[in-house]
Order: sequence, then structure tokens, then C-alpha cells
Amino acid sequence: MSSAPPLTAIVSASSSSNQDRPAQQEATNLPDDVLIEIFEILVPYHSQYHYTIDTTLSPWSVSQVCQSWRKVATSTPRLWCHIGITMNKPAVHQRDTVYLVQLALERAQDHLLSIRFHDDLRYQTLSHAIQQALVTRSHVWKQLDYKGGDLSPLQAAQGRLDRLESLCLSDDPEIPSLLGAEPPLALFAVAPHLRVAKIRDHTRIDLPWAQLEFYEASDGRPTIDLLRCPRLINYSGPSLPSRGDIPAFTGNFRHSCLTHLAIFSVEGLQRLEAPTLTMLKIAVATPGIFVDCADFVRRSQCRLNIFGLGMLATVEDKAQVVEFLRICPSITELHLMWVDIAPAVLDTILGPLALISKDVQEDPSHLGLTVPLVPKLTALNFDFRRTHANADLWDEFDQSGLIALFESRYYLDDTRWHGTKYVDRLEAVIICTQASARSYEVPEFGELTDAGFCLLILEMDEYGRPIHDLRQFYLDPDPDLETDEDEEEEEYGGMDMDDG
Amino acid sequence: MAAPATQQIKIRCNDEKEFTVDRDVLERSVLIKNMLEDVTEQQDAPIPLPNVSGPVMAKVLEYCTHHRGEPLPSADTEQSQDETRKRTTDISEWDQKFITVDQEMLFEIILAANYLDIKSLLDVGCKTVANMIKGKTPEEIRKLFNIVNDFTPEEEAQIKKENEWAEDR
Repeated sequence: MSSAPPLTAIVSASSSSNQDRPAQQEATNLPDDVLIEIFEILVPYHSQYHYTIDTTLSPWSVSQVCQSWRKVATSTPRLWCHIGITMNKPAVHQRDTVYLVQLALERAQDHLLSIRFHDDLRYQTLSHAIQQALVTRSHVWKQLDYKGGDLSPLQAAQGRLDRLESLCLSDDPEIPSLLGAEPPLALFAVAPHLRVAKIRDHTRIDLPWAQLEFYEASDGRPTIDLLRCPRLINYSGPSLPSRGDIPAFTGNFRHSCLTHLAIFSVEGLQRLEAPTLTMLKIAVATPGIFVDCADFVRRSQCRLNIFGLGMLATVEDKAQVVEFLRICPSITELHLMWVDIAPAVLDTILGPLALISKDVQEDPSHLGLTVPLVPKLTALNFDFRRTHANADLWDEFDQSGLIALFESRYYLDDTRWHGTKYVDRLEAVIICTQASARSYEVPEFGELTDAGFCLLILEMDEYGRPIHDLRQFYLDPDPDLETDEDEEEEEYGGMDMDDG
Repeated sequence: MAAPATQQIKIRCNDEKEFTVDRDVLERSVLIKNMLEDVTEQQDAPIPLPNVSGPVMAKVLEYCTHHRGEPLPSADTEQSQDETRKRTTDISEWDQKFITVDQEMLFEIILAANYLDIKSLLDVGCKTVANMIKGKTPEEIRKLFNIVNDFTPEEEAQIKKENEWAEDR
């Protein structure tokens, strides 16, 4: 026999004590945890702006409304744990920035900190003072995003980075790399929790290589990086050719963890085996690339889902493209990057895809493919950084198998969107754009969304990474897509309402 | 073959208004879901919800009905996912229409969602309030929500210092 208490008793016991609260609720009566939730939404984490000293933004602004809000805001460390300072912003010099940073750090208490600091050598004294304040809390740094060449003020953090999980070092084009006679090259070498590193133009920096899981390098050689990082899951290699002074590794090797690989050319690929790889992107396509890629896939026995190519400049043999696609039946996303080439070249790649998708529907035995080997290309990603130079390409494609089109746009202000002709065959267009772009003002978008077309504009951060999870948007069915009939039937979900 | 009948549950609000609702709709509320799981015997008596009024509950049920069948956020939802969710103020079109209510009702819905533990509804409410606050000065926020400035002179001085610009010094 069940000994569970009656339901009414449980409910009565769980009723909160504010049963007698007035009927009219005001903003000041919201429970603290709800207020914190609201305040947290308002903190501009992703802003590139110097939000730590912008007191017109949350959490400063909400802490200046009334006593109860101030008490909640100032006693909630997680509202203050994101520090963002850009030294070249006038406000940094017009405010008492060191005081504000110290105040924010004080309110953050010992909560793990995410720091974005963009240095500027013109303001060295102030910059060093701010960095010294930050270093006092280096034992709770969780993420450090540091732009600038002079790491020396951070030297005192060495040996205290026990909580650091993510490091991004990038150079300002105007600042030479690693200033000073003795730059602190070993500063980040001991950081037991460091898993993510994005290092731009700091090839001499020492990192705890053996524990890295995500590494984005702007220099060096992929083969060397992959060898010294056996736990890497995601590697994004240099976007420029490897420097001559770093020797290439020439032996064959196997990497057992890698799932995402983005490299400049096929150089590292020719000797690599990566059985767990699902995404392969190569920035510059060289003649015969599909043969090299096919060899790699055969050797690795991997199942690619995403394949990307950039700067395609030569007309590939269609037979090679078809063969590559045949042995990669699981590819569902094709990314074409820096497409600034003749339409005929692209057609060589896209042509077989369209052919296979179309013909297999009518005749599964076409081209010797069996049904399970049919490429199910559902998404096409154009990284159109130079959209204005590629606008005419839209008219050259006929991709009837696609249901989604991704497009990364960086310069929307002076361009028009040329995908309108695809609206009747696509279910979604996903535009990735930098947060600063005025993409929302493109007039065609308004017309499309008015027609019920699924258009998602995703903001990207300053590194071109979507702020939102693309797959979440792309793969989830739209819950609003119900027929009128369904809606009528489901409206109240079998709910009856009676007056008691 | 007829589909199996959905269990219906009765609830009673603090103004005695009662609703009979499909169990799966009601289980969008983690509070009620846990209660129903704790009770093994069939209950005829309505579940009393002393913190929610009838009109507010009707709105909450409208939301739960629309979102029935959607996966509930689990306790082990990755922190990063949770943060991503929080960091966006995007609200779906339907939710936006749903939450277009007067301020009093908005706060009632938030309180009800908080009490009933309906995370997604609480999110919609919080994002709506956040969107109302966004870009406003403290004074404008006070005016918007009819909040009294109750700072002491000491607190005012501290706030002034936080907002100080070079030319003020």
C-alpha cells in the first residue's frame, strides 16, 4: 500500500509564505532570484564594448534604480564577473576606470572571471594599472581574451592560473608581437584546466599542449600542432601558408580524438589518419584536392558530415568530385569559403551534388550508388565575406535539393541579398552576421518574413563565431508550423474551465 | 483504435476558480509534475494553487497548452546551453504575442511561472522585462515601473561617484 501523502497536503505544504501578498505585483516585489535572472539577461557579455565601465549598462544601471535592486545587484557576484575593457575608447580615459574595475572585481568576489582586455600602447600607464588590478584576481580567471602585444603586466599571474579554462591571445595589427626584452612566454604553460586556446601571432608562447582540446592557431604547422596535442578535438590551423622556419613533420601519424579539422591546405592531411573526424575544412583548394581528400577519408575510415573548401581556383575533374562524394555519403553540409571565383568552377562542385540528389530520387542505381550512399546535402554554407564581388553567382546555381542556406555576411551595408529566387524551394535561410553589421535593415528580409518564410539572422562575435548554436536553430522543427485545423483542435488542449 | 484517454487533473486557484486540464499540459510545471509523481492514488480533489489567481492561471495554461510535448529542460542541461539561453533576449513570435499583456499581468505571470517552476515561461517573462529595461536610465526605469527612489544620501553619493566623468571631477 502506498504511504504517499494526499496531494492536497503536499500542495499546501509547498505553498510559499507570501500567500498574503497584495494582488498588484510591482517590479520591486519580484523575488531576488527572478530579479537576478532579469539583470543577467541585460549584462552585455558579447559586446565588444568596454562594458565594465559603462555605467549606463547593466549591472551598473539596474543597481542605481532603488535600494532593493541595488542590494540584489551588488550582492550577486555573477553579474560582475565579466570584465571588458577596450583601452582606445575615450570613455576609458574620461572615467575613473581603475576605480570602476576594482569595484566590479570587489562585487564579483571570488566568482570565476571572464576577462576581455584590448590593450593600446598609447596609454601604457593606465593600461598597466588596470592590468595590475586584474592580476590580483588571476586565481579566479576562467577566460582571458587579451588583445595587444605587451603581456608583461600579466607576469605576476604566472603560477596562479589554476582556474583558467580558455585563453585567447590576439594581436593588434598596429602592435608588434610580444613586446619587451623578455616577454613572459611561459606565463600560460602551467594552467591545469586550460582546454581552449586561440593564439594569434604568438607562436613562441608555451601552452600546456598535452591537455588542449580546442586549439586555434594563426601560425605554425598543423602537423606539429596535432602531434603535440593528442587530446585535441577541434583544431583550426593557420589561415596563411606555414612559415618556412617551422619544420614540417614528415612522418605518418594517427590522431584518435580529432573531430573538427580546419587547415589552410592539404599539407598536413596527406600523412594524417583521423578516424573520428566529422568536419574537414580546407581554406585553399589546390589542383587534385578531391583526390587527396578521398585518400585521406579512405585511409582514416572517417565519416565526414561537413566538408568545406575555400578559394577554389581550378576546375576540378567532375569524376574526382563524384568519387569523393561517393565515399563520403554522410556529408550533409557543404561550406564554400571565400568564393570569389568564376561560376563555372563552382558549378563543377555543385553540379555533381545536384545531379546525384536529383537523379537518385528517380533512379537509386544511378552512378552506381546505392541508396545509403546518397549524399543528403541539406545545407549549403557560403562564407561570403566579399559578397559584393560575388553577387552575380546567385544566378548560376540551381540547387533543388537544398532546404537551408547559410550565409555569412560581413559587409551588408552596401549589398543586396541575392537569394530571393530560392525562396520557393528553401525552407530556411540563416544569415550569420557580425553584431555590428546593419543587416536588419536589408529590405528583402522584411518581405520574406512577412510571407512566413523562415529567416534567422544570427549575430556573430568578433571572431566570426555564431553567438547562438546554429544547429539548434537549423535542426529543430519549428513548433509554430501547425495547420489551422490542428490549432483549432489543440487550442485548449482538452482544458475545461469552470468557475468554482 | 481509439487513442488512450489522457488523464485529466483538476486544479483550484486562490480565487476558487477551477480548471480541468490534461496531465501532460499541467506537467509543464515541474512543481505539479513532481507532486503528481509523488502521489500514487487517483485524486479527485482539485490541487489547490494558493499563489495563483484564475485569470493568471488561464494565461499560464494557454502557454503550457501551446508548448505541450516540447522537451522540458533537464536538471543536467549543460551550463553553456543555459548561459546561451540566458544571453539572448530573443523571444519567439508566438511567445511575444502571448506575453503582450499589461504590466500587472506580466509580473503575475512571472511570479506564477516562478512558483509553478515553468522555466521556459519564466524565461519569456524575464526577457520581456529585460527588453523593457534595456537602454533606459535608472530614472526612466523608475518611471516605467513606478519605483520610488529610496536611496540614502550616502548611497546617492556613491552612485554619483560611479557615474562620474572627468569633467565632473
